[in-house]
Amino acid sequence: MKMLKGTCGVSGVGCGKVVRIMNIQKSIERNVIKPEEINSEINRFHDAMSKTSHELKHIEDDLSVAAGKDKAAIITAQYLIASDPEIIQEVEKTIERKLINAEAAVAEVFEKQASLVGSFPDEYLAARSIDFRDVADRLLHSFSRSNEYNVLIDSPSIILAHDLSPSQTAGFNPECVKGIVLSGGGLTSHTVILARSLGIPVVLAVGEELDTFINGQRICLDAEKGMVYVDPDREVIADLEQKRITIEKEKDEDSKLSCEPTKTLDGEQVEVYANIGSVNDAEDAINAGADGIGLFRTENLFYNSSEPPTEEEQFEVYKKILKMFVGKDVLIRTLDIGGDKQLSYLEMKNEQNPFLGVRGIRFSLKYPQLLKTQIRALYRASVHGKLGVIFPMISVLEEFKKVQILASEVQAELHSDGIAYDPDMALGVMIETPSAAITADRMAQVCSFFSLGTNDLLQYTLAVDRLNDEVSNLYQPECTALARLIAITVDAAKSAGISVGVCGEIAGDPRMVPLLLGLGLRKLSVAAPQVSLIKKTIRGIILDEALSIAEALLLSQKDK
Amino acid sequence: MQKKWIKLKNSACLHARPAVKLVQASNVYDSDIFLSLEQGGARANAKSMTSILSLGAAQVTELLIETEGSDEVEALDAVIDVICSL
Repeated sequence: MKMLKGTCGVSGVGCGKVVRIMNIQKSIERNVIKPEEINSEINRFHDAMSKTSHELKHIEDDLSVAAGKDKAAIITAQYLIASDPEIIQEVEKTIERKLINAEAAVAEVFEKQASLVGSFPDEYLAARSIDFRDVADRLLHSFSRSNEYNVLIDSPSIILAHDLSPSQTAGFNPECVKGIVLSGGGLTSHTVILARSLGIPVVLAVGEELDTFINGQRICLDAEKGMVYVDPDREVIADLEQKRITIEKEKDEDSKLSCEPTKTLDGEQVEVYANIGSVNDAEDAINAGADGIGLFRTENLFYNSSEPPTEEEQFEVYKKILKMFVGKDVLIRTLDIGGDKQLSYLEMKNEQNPFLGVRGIRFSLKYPQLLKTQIRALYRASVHGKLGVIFPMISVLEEFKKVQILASEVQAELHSDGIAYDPDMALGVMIETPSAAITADRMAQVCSFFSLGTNDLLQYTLAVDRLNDEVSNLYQPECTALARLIAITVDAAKSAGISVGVCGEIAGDPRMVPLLLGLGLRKLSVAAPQVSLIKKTIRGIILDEALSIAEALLLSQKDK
Repeated sequence: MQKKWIKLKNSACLHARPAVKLVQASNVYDSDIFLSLEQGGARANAKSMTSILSLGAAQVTELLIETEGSDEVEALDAVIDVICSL
């Protein structure tokens, strides 16, 4: 047995036979052609291009099934390059004008494109030069009959290579490719990302010794340790098999847990919702296992256009999101504009103190038609799911009463128009001003639920602009004042029998979660990427300990 | 011909994933669709991956969209939708 050490790219274990992939740059001959050969060169180019785009389409389809559409986007991008009318035209022109063979024209055009993209300062964009080179390599291989770019692997194998292109990695079938070992490890991030989404373990930076192995040799890897075993001993194989079984079991448990309710160690159930700003975010929220939507910010619907969205446009978006979360809570916040957020099509006065001026519900009540249209769209959507509407920046009860009047007007109109709506659609108050929190008992008498917007609540409570560097050090969410306001709000909700959740950034911070549970909150709404982390955090919390954390802060026993 | 300047709330970067969405949405329409980052600046064919990536559009806050053809109104609408949801 021989051992090699590298670094971990994607953890996991695997065993199989060596398959070496050598990406030797195909040497490109540059031949001068005669004018009468132009057409046949262009035809050869078209044939190779269509072969390439077919291959990429195939890889894309397989990858979408194995890893999801989102992960397949890189390959979709390559497929679109391989079927791009502009680049096809450019290659044709180059063949025609320079009178060179198709391969040389392809190499020239694609390399020019790769260098242009690679020169952009933005690294995401610059990284796309890899895709132009990857498509070009695949394309150049397609001209010849023997195509080494696609290696057919049909038995358990470990791939050995210097580097792999994105499309090569994406083309691997995880049923057969049990691992990847690369001699390099610098510019391989795309390989690692794609391999991870396919669940293939990767060991990087093993070094040049990799070149001494031959196809068919038996090889195992333990990527977490960065170990590669060639001609492994029986014990090693048995150990790794044991490890593989353990890893599989953990994976199963993780995926089982993600569908199960989130409970603290002592069995208290907590809902973890997602905050979203678009239908795309809602898809991420579903994938992340969110229990519902705790805050849909509708501002995006109102920006980016020279006029406000129509009722119909809004209805379609709300309905779409409700249909994605059947049987689950979806809380949608009405337009929250003003402060630092402006609309191009409405004249908004410059205010001396915009955060204390016309924002949130104050703005909406100033333009009631805008709010009415939104409420009407929401009522129409309400028949498609469990919808709650949050009204932002309510500071006095009077404002919410005005909202209720508008809502009943909308109901009456829908009724007389014979349009379906849910008369019991929940109307809730965003608790984000100290006055709303302090009078929460009165608010709770008239509204159906509370949502704590802790970002603004904290800034108004401490009188600190957290974007102002001079004072942002004072913006500390773990403070007695905020804890007391949350406790007042939660108590008011409990005595009135209405629900209460929190959707500020505080909920997405694992360090703050024990405090929030201790304060009695059982609905946390966080950004989609945060959902699984927060669920995991909750599963490790003991409620008694959370309670004493909250108590200490409420009684100001801690100096905060 | 339809023309619209749009302003984005959050700056967008037209890298692989957004460009894929744009090309796929544009390919549905017969009209020619062009994007530019400034008036009179380079115009990218929204049906071409290469063309969009070549804009080098890293932190886009404003975009000019132009559509021309039999379904130019619908095409404009669809492209705006995609860009606003990036």
